[in-house]
Amino acid sequence: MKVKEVLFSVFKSLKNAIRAVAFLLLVAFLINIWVGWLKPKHFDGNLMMDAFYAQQENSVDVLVIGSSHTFVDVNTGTLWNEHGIPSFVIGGSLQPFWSSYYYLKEAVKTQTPKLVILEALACNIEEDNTFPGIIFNNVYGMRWGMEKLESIRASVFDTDGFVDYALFFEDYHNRYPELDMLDISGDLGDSVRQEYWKGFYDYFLIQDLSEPEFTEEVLPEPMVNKEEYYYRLILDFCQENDIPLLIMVSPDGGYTDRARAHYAYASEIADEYGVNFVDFNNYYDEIGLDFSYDFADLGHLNHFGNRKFTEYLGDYLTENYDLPDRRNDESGVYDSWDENYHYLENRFDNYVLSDTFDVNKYLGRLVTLSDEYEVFVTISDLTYITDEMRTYLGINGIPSARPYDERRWVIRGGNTTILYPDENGLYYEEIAGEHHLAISLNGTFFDDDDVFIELENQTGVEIVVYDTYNQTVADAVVIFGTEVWRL
Amino acid sequence: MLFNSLHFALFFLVVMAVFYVLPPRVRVWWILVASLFFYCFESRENPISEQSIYLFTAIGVSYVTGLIMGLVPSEGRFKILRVILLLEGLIADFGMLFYFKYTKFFIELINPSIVQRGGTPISTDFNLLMPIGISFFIFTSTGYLIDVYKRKIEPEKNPFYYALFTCFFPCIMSGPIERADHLIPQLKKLHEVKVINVDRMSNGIVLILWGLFAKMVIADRIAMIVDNVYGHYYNFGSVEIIFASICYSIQIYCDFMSYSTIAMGCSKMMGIDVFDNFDAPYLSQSVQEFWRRWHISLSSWLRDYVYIPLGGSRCSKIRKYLNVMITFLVSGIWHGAGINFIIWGGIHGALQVIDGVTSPLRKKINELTHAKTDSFGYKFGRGAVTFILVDLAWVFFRVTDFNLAVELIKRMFYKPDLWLLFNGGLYTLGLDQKEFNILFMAVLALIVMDIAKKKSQKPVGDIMLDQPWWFRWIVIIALFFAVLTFGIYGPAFDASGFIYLQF
Repeated sequence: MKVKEVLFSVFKSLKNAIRAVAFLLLVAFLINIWVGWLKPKHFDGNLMMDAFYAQQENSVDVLVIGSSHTFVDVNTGTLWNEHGIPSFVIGGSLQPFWSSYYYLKEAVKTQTPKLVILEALACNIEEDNTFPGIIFNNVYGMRWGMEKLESIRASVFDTDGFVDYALFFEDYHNRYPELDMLDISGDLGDSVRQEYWKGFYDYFLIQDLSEPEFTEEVLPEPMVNKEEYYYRLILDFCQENDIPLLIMVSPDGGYTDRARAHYAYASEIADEYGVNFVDFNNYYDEIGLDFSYDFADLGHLNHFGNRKFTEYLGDYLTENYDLPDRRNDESGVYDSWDENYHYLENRFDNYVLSDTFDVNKYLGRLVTLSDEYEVFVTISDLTYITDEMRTYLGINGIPSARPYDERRWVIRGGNTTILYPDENGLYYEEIAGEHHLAISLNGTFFDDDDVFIELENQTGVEIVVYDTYNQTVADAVVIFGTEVWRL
Repeated sequence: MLFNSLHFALFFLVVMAVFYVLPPRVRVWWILVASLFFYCFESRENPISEQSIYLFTAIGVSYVTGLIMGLVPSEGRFKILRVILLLEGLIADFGMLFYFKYTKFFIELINPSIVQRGGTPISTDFNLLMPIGISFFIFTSTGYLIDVYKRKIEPEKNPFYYALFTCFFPCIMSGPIERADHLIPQLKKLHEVKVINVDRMSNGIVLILWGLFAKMVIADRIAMIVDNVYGHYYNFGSVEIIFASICYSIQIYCDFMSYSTIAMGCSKMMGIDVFDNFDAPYLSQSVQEFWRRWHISLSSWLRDYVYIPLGGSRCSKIRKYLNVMITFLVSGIWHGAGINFIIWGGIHGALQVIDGVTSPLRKKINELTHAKTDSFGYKFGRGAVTFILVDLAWVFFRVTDFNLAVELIKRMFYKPDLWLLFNGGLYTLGLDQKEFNILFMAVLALIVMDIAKKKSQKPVGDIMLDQPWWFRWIVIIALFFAVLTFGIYGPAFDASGFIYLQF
């Protein structure tokens, strides 16, 4: 009897232990899903680290770290296409030097850069640079480890702050109101979905600025003590690890004498270490910058500006550093830079298409689109159709005599196919093997991207252009007479 | 160290880990050390707070007084000595409470008559920093003294057990107000607590999660509506003010209930049962029942040490009603030094007196109208009326200025714009639609849990123990993720204090 009781007790304890372990495993599994959903997913500091970790080991020759100026000014596609330099940008808005320092230490765990470019905006930031947004953008993308913990510790003032930020969920949970299907599906959409993203983000805005004016001479002015401490740590680290370092100031529409004074001070420190410090604000003419056209805002270059700047930077790098041209490498290690360039080019083409408002020009661009694009056509009203539109439809074998036609057409690789509705009235097409475009009488949408384009009550010819390479809607318009309306 | 702070989470994890690692006989000393640490280091800005001295004084005075009282015979010429000892203990304890809580209030009360007689008013330009939890540990100590005096319990001889009884960390800040005959025997049996007891642990976890849910998901979220409307009442109409008042009823319930529930959960995980302080109070059928279900440890304290000694209900009706009024005025004063708290206590006393006086009349009307008093409709009606009365009284609790409280109640009866309930107007009171929906779902969960609690007459943790394991898992996981996701916390927020900590 006693043996039976003991056995029963052991069995019960074992059952409870198994149940407890199973419960904890289930909670851990659910927390993992929860983190995946609520993790911030923006290109500024967070997702670029995901992309960085996805890079092949020892493939990055030039690592660029620093503020937002890095990820909008240094065009990784141009560096690759023009100079064969495989580069990666780890930037974050107003990135302080302590974040740069720990990013650098994190980066060299998997990469052996032949050059590190440190962008120097942080030495020109005088105010307290530790508010939450800065920490989120410059720390949270990093994987858990000592570098991340050290980076948090350097970013806060006290233990409370450390605990607050080290427990990532305190920030993650605030995202619940903005949670959408993108977070849940894990499909991050244009600009960040690609595994070949290199941290650079191309801006297409244009702001008309004046060229900054500054006096001839400034006296060096010290930077904030804490920034200087970590600035020197970066210099020390690169020196100890034999990593060539370039410190640069990128072109800045808001450049001032005060900034020059701080950069002069930083330059003196760089001299102590024998490190090149280049303020590209001294080379506006050489770069060919047009301040009325090449800036997206006061501090950041746009697509046109970053190409000019990066070409100039690339020339400087190839002249001054030992950087091999990897374009002819056939090992496959650098294929992703080709893809990165391709992605950036398509993204620019999409921008040009979506910025075209003249029907004839628009149709001209449609005709020249590569096979990577698919064009979906819906005819709702032929009352004001132009001859050019009619010609375009005719070339593609789309009859333009039946208004309110229930048929839809897709032009793919020069061939036109009629789409027939399924039992739910949806015109459904598989694209790139994964994504699906469904057109209903009410709208056009991607079933897994939640992109919704309203077609209902439109008059004219609706055109949706899908970029299969970047897996994104390049443009969606209604052409009505001679006008192009964006949907 | 707030229960909803990370500091407490870390503290409690360490306490629990060490508790189970230590030899069983040492556990009680460990909990005492942890409790003293919890109290003395409650303020990180002011570690080893000077105010701890008042806790030690209360412990010392009550322990020694109780010990001596136990040695003095109850009969004969020594009886007076016991009375003197009791008075000495009560004066020492209540003296501290009065000094910190009521000195300023008392001076402000007598200053007008001093001025009227041509005197100089006493200055109130001083700041007495009230020791946190003083109302709770003083009531714990005095309850013990009275019990010893009445020979209901034997005085505790071991000073460490007595100290732990008074400063047991889950209860010291905000209750439940424990009784010696309930807590001390459990402390003495701490060494018998089994290390692995899945039921007890899951019971404790459910209680802690439910408390955190009530505080962080409901109370701190609904506070945004309450603070906005009460803070800018002049911008709002009757519907908004009524709605905010209902919200405040929910806020104060969730806020206080959460503290007690977390205290229960923490205690449970150490193998100790403390009083369940709330038993679905808003499902009460009368104000009297409300007080049997609201802040039960205080209500029972007032019943045993104020109401019954005054004569309770075993006296004339007028005397009984007087006793009720006195008891509730004491309850009001206990909650705070302010006319508003006295009025609030007075309203609750008066409502019970009115209930008692009109009871025969209501019975008669029910008989004449053949009212189905057992029907859901009748009970719902009574419950709704009780809730409305309690809700109106809360206005005086929330608003310290009497005139403002009256103004708010007046505003409740201006022309109501009922469309606000349907046109999205409620989403402009401090929470947008998403937040409002989360709050709505959370309050729905609260109602379901309260109904379950009332029906089963068991605490939340025990209700869950009656469920199949998979259901318990779902509830624990749902609560955990609800708190993690929808809780109000993080660097962008200040950890919100518990309302009852100020008492």
